[in-house]
Amino acid sequence: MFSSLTRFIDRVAELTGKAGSFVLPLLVVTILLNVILRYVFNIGMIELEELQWHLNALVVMSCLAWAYQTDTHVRVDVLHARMRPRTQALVEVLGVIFLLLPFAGLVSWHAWKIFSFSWALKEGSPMPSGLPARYIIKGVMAAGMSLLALQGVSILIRSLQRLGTAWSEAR
Amino acid sequence: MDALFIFLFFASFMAILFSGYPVAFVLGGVGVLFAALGTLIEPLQIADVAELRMIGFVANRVFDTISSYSLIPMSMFIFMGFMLDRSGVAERLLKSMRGLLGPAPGGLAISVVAIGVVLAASTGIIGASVVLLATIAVPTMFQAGYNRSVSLGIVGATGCLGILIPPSIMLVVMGDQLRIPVGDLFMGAIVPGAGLALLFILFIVATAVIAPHAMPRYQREGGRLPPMKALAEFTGALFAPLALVLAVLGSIVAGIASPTEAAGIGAAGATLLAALNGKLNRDAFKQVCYDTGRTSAFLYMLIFGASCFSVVLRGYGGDETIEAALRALPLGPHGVLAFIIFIVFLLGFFLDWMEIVLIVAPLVMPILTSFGFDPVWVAILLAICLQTSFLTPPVGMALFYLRSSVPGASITEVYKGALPFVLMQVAALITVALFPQLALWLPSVAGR
Amino acid sequence: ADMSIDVQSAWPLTLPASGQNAQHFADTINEISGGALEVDLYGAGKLVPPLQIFDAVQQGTLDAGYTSPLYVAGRFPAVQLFGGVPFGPDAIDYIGWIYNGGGLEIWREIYEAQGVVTVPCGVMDAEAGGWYTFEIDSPEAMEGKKIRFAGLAGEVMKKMGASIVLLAGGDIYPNLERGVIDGTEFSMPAIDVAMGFEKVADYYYLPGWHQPAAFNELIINKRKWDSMTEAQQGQIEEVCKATNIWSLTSTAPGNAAAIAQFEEAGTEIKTFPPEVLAAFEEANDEVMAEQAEADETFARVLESLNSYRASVETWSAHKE
Ligand code: NA
Ligand code: NA
Repeated sequence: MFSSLTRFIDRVAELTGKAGSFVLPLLVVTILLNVILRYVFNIGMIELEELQWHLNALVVMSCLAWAYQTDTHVRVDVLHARMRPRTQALVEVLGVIFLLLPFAGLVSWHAWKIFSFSWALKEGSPMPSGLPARYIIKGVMAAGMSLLALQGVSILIRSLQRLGTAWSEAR
Repeated sequence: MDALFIFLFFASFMAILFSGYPVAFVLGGVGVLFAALGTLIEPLQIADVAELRMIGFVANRVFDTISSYSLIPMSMFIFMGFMLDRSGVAERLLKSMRGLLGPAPGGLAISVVAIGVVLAASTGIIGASVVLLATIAVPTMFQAGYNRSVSLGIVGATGCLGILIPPSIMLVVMGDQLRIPVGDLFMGAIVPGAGLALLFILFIVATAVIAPHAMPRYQREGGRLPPMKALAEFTGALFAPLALVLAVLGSIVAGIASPTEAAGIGAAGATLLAALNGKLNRDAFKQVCYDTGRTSAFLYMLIFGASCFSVVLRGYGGDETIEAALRALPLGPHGVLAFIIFIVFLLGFFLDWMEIVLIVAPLVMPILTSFGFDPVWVAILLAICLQTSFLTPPVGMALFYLRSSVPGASITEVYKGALPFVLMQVAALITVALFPQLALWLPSVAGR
Repeated sequence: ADMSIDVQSAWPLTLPASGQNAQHFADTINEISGGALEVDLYGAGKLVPPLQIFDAVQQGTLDAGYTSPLYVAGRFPAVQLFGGVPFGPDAIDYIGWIYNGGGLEIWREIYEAQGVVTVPCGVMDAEAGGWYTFEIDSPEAMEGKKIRFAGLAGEVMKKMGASIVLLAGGDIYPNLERGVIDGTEFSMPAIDVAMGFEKVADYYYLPGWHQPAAFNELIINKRKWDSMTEAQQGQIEEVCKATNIWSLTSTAPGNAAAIAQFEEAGTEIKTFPPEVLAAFEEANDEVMAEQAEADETFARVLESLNSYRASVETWSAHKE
C-alpha cells in the first residue's frame, strides 16, 4: 500500500515538474513579444510584463517537488557522500520529519489561507490594466509548497523502507 | 541572553548543514524549529524571541519572491547556459583554439581560460560550465602531459568566472536582495572579471616558463595546422558566441534592454545557435527545459528557506544585535568593511554564495552604506569574495562538480590545483578594494 | 505596557513623509500613552514585503501595518480613491471628506468583512508631476512615449497615447538614464531628491495633477483592535490625526529645498500648459467612468467624494 502511495506521489510530482518546465519556452516567447512590441511598434503592455512573472512563478512552484525527487536541491555532501546508504536514509528520515515537513507544512497552511482570502476577493493586479485573477498564482504557490511536503512524505516512506531492510539484513 | 540564542541559531544551522540534508530545507526547517522554541520560552521573558506565527510571514515572502520581476533573468540566464552547453559552441572553440595556441608554452591552458571567458560572458551559472570544461578540456590536458592538479585548478577556477563576469545569476540575486539595479552590478563586474581572467593567463604563462614540465606543448595529431588556417577556423568558431554575448551584455550596457529582456533575448539566441549547429533535437530541447526548471526551483527554494531563516533571526533581535556588535568594533568604516569581507571569505569555506547573499548581505549592507560606501562597489567586493567560495573546501561547488566529472580526481588533488587561483582572487579582491574605480568606472560611463 | 502592537511600515522609516510619518506616529504614541499602549515599529520589509502587509494583518500574523491603500487596489479597486485621486481634492478638502463627509465610513466598511480596521494616518501633500526627458508642450506630446506611471493616472497616460511600463523603485533611474523609459512620476520633491533623477531627466513638471493629496493608512487586525480599550483606540485615532498635520507641515521645507537643488543642477522646472491639463482631465473623466462602471463600490466612493466636493465647491473655488 505504501509503495503505491509513493509511486503515485512521485508520478504526480514528476508530471507537474515536467509540465511546468515546458512553460519556460512560453516565457521566452512572452519576453520576445514584449521587446518587439515595445521597440518596434512602441506598444507597452502591463499585461505582458505581469504575464512574465506569472509564467516564471508557475515554472518555479511546479518544479519544487520534482527537484527534491531527483535530488537537485543542493546538499553539503562532504560527509553525506561518505555515509553508508543506511545512514543516508536515516538523515533523510530525520530531515523530512524535523525540517522539511514543519517548514513546507506550515508555509503551505499559511499559503492556502492567503489563497482563500485572495480567491474570496477575486483579487487581481493592483494596476488597473494588469492581469485579472491574481489568486491563481497564490493557488499555484500553495499547491507547489503542498506538493513539496507530499514529496517529503513519499521520500520519508521510501527511506523508512530502506532503513527497515538494512536493519533486518543487519540481524 | 539575546546573543546566546542568536549564536545557538547559527550554530544549529551550521551543524545540521553537515548532515547533508538539502541546504534549503535545513535553512527553513531550523527557522521553524527556533520559532517553535521561541513560542515555548516566550512566557519566561528571558530574551527577544521569534514566534511560530511569524512563519505566516514566510508565506507572504514566498509570494513576493515568485512575483518579483527582477528575479526573472535568473531562470532565463540558466536556460541560456544549459542551451549553450548543448550547442556545441564550446567544443568547436576548444578545437580551433587548440590548433592556434596549442604549440605555444601553456597554450592549451590559455585556450581553456579564453573559452571559459566566452562561456562566462554568455551564461550565469557555473555548474554546467565547469562540467562542460572538465569534460572537453581535462582529457586533452592530461593527454598532453599537463600536471593533473594544475589542469583541474585551471578548469575549476575558469569555470567559476561565469558567476562574476556578467550575465551572472549571483549578481541578479544580489541586485534583488540589496535593491541595486542589476545593470549597474553587471557593468561593475566587467572590469574585475576581465582582470581576473588576465591574471589567470599571466599565471599560466609564468608557470609555463618556470616549470615547463607542468605544461608541455601540445602536439596535434597529424601535425601542425598552418597558422592562417587555424586563425580562420578560430574566427569562425568565435563569431556566433561573440555575437550572442554582444547582444545580451551590449544591450544592457548600451541601455537598450532591461536585464530581463536581455536575458530572454539571450535564451532565444542560444536556442537559435544550437539549432544552427544542428544540436537542437526534441530530446535536447526537453532536457534543457527540465534542467532549467529544476535548477531554478532549487535556487528559489534556497531563497524561500533563507527567507524563513532571516525572519526568525529578526524575531530573535538578530539584526540589531549584529549591527550593534559591528558598530562597536573599534575599527573605523574601512576596518569594518575589511572585517566583514574577511568574515564572508571565511563563511565561504562552509557556505555557498546563495546562503551568504541571502542572509549575510542584507544584514551588513545597510551598515556599510551608512558609512558612505558606494553600494555597487561593496556588492562587487562581496561578489569577488563569494566567487572564491566556489573553490574553497570543504564546501566548494566547483570542487564537487570537478570531482564528479573527472573520473579518478581526488578532492585533495582538485584543491591543490585551485589554491593558486584562490590566492589570485584574493589579490583581485584587495586590488578592487584599494581602487574602487575598477568597479565604479564602467557603470558611471555606460549608456551615456 | 498594557497593550503592545507590532506595526510594520511599507516604507523605510527615514523616507520623508510616508516613512517618517510612521516613525512620528510610533514615537508620539509611545511618548503620550503613559505606558498604556506601546508601538513596536518595523521598517519596510523587515517582516513582510510591503505589498503583502494587508494579507499579514488580515491573517493576524501581523498586528498592524502602515501602508498605502493603493497597494491593495487589486483586492479593493475602490480604495484607490483614498490613496490619491487624479484631479481630486487638495489636502484640506480630502481631510474634510474623509472625516466629515462620509469617506472614512465607506473606507472602513470595505475592509470590515476582511477583519481589518483602517485608521487614516498621515495625509500626503501634492506630488510632483514627474520627470521627463522631453518637453510636454501639447496634448500630443505623450504619444509613443514610454512612461512609468502607476494606478489610475497610468490609465490616463495610456489614453494620452503613452505606453505604460512597470518598474520597481530601484530600476527607474537606470532605465530613465538609458532611455528605456522617457518619463516617470515618482513622489514629492523631498523624496525625489534621494533618487537623483535630476541627473538623467531635463524636465521636472509641477504640480502633480495625478495626486493633489493622498492618504496613507494604519491598518489593524480587527481582533487586535477589539481587544483594545476605547482609550487606546482613541489615542491611535487622535495621534493619526496629529500625524496628518505633521505630514503636511514636515515636508514643505524639504520640498522647497529640493526644488532649489534641482534648479541648481540645471533641471527645467515646468508647469503643464492649460490645454495639456484639460486633455489629461478629459481622459481622466473617461477613466473614472470606466472604473465606476466596472466596480460598484468604486462608483459609490466616487459618488460620495464628488458630492462632498460639490458641497464645498463654492468656498474651495474662492480660496484659490
Ligand atoms: Na556569467
Ligand atoms: Na567554499
